[in-house]
Amino acid sequence: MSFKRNRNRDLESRLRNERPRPDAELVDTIVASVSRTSAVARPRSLRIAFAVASVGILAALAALGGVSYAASGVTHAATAVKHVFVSDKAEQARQNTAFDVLSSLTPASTSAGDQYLPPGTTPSQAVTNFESYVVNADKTLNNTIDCSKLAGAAKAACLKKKKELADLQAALSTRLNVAVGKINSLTGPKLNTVATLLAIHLQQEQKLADLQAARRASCKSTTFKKAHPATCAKANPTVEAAERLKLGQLELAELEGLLGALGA
Amino acid sequence: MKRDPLANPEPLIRRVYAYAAYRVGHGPDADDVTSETFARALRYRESFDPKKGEPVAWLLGIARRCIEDARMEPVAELPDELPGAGELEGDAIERIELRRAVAGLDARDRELVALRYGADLSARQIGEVLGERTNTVEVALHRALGRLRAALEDEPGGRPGEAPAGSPVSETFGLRDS
Repeated sequence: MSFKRNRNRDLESRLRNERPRPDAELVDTIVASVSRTSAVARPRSLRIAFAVASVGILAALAALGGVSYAASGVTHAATAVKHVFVSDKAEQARQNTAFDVLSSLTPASTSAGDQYLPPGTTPSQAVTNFESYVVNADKTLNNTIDCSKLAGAAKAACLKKKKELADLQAALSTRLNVAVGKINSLTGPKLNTVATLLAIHLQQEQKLADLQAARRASCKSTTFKKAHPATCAKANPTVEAAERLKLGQLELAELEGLLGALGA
Repeated sequence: MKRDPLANPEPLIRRVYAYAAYRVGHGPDADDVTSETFARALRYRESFDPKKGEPVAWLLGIARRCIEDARMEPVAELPDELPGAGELEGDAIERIELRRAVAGLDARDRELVALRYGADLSARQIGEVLGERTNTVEVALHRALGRLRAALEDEPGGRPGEAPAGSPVSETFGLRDS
């Protein structure tokens, strides 16, 4: 009896001592999201609307495996991707801003050019373009999911997912049409505020595209792929579409929140 | 003043991750479950009621739903390339064997092990999460440990109870390293 009890204790010790631990990068990213949300839980203002949504955007981008726009240069893809996607505690220690993507997302610290839509683009046109972005992401994701080789519960789950994506596509279009109607009712400073948000969204979408391209490029290297299998598992059209869709959904929620705050 | 369940997030992240990893395997799926759990917790943090339990129990309830939503199954952990015995530290081999054995348990046993040794909940807390009596949980845990030990002892150095090669979610959406 005593022998059996001791063996149980040994096994319990092993289960505790060898319990899986999260990557430091995952912990840091979630802690940053939580801290940032706590910091902005204050009375409403338009800046708050941007900041709160930025937390969601951070989460979406964090799904890429870690975010640091300090390494925004994607010219040297492998270096940039390693810096952006892979934990580097020494580098993070040198750069306290390693995970502070939020500061680059808020209007106050975004460069002036990023706060304006491309010349000649109206806010409602920008929303129409945004509709293409998010709806195409949904379509692409749906098209890349092939249920034909699955069977049983897995096939049912796969088909359910495809149905959900098809339903989501219709729902997104409806919500965007409502948003366009509301934007068309706005004028003056309120319209400018919406335009600022849409311009920032455009910037986020471009950054996401850059990061995805850099990840793809780096993962062509066998050495990089071997060293960072989890990161490279995401370098495929399905995950990329899912990332775009997630970002698009967050942006739409943010736009709707802002329109509500503006009384549109 | 309402208590913030996420006031000290780091230990909570570690406990949720360990729970998720024992449930669905150490790696990207556990990362996803942990991220999604905290994303939902941030969204619904106002709904946390301290009278109903500790923040960790609340978060684990969310994590369980995330796993159910994704219909995740455990995947035995494999290194990228299996080295020869001499090339891998003994403790690393043992760790991998242990995780494989946990992944080979049935869903009920795995849930109990994950809550007890991953999330570090007491039997009473597990009972609250699962809606069961403490005694029932204690007995079930004891039996689960017995089955785990048997799996480890039956196939020393082997792959006891090796789990399916890929979960429906991972296979469908290509989210796992090969």
